[in-house]
Amino acid sequence: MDGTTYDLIVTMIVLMLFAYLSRELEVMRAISEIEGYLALFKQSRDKAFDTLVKKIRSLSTLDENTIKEKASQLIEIALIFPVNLDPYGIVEKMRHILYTAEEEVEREVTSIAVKASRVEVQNLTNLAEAVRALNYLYKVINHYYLIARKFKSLWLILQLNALLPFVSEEVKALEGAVKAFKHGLPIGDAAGPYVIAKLARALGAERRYEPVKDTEIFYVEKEGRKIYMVKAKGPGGTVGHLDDALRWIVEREDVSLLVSVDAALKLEGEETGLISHGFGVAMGGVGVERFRIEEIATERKIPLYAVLIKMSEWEASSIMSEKVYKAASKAVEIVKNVVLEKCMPGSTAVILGVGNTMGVP
Amino acid sequence: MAEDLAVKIKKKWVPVYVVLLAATIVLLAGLYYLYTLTGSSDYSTAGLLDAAVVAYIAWSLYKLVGLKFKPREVVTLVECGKCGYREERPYEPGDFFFKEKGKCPKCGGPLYVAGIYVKEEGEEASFKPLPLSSSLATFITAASGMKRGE
Repeated sequence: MDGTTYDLIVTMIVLMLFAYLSRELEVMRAISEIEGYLALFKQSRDKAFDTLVKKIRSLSTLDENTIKEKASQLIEIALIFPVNLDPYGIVEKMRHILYTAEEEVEREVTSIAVKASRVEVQNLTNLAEAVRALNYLYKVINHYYLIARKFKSLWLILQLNALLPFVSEEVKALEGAVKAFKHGLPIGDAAGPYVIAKLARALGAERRYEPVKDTEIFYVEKEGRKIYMVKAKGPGGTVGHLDDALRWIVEREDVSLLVSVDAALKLEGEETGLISHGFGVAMGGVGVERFRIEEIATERKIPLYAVLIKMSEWEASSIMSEKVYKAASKAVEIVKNVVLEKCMPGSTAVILGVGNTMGVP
Repeated sequence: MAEDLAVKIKKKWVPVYVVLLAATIVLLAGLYYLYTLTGSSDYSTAGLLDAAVVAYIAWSLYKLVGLKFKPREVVTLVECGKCGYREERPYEPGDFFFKEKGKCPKCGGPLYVAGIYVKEEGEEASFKPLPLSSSLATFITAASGMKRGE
């Protein structure tokens, strides 16, 4: 080695330059990736919005500009959940807000799409919800991207970049939902209601009740057991009010078993259509209905049994896949056997088919 | 996730990759020619680096060309309530579960919609070890006298 001080300084400067350039390149790569994702999210949002406008146009008498304005209002609706500083009674407050929103949005959709039937109103409401979620996701990601650029924050950019694959999964799921809601096709989440509808037919349900809005109850006596089967009322897209239906049943019967059937999110690597069993109430969402069902079951010491049909988030929101359909068909027999095994003759069982019943009457 | 759009955007880059690949191949040929003429190791080193770039661009182009958007076909499964005859038909707007769909071609019984689903499915994400990791795992298990999966 015969280097001089000058050589040493030059080498160090070159090394520092490379370190700096490497970081700059990494940031540029992350930024271009975020911008690519953002462009796709925007495209998805715009396409979904156009679908909503077209659907409304086919069912409305309003002019184009008013339809666009009303559709924009529909996708900008915000739900403000109650203050949780004092969580006592928060579930009832949330329920009140959710019910109010549900009724008001449906009323708004009915007033825009005057030619729509009840089923079409439900499907349109679902479609507006999916577009709203897409719009919200795009806006949030765009907000963080702009903030990161504004403050030239490397860490914000890298965090956002790391999150994008998960967000894009959600966007993909919502895109699938838009396609399904547009045509009123059953989605993967309809597996629960489908199991109930098929089981009710297989067992030859004798009676049908509709004591609660958007919810139906089938009743049959099988081998000395009283079986109530509850699902949202289709074929319009709704999840019904299974908690209220269950309360209606327990006020009349001494229930000794509660089985819930629902689509459950699978982990990456798990097979779609895997059926697993569990204890508790199989139900997603905000948790208001599940809380109330758990409360009823705990008050009356009703054993809770769950049958889960595994699928990805995308499969749950998109048009039902063949694998999910086959799994749901298999689950019908499983649920029947569970009820016959765990419910003694002379007692009563309730089966809840949880999920959006679009396409399943 | 706007899959059709993503595929379209990516496919736009194919000509750029092709031009780059052609240019790097020409450069590689030139470097080889110069190396044979002069025998200088500078050309062989540059040629090796260029060969790596050619391989990388060729691999990226191969992946890009292989990208396909598969449209998902929705079908209606009709079933005969009497003889169990089943048939998959293209989905028609207005179809829903348990809707009556005419008569069975076999026994004349009532046909009803038994299922509505998409035929085409995406590949299941599963754990696929890289060839090198797989070979390494085989070597380690063989060396330790264990059977795979133990």
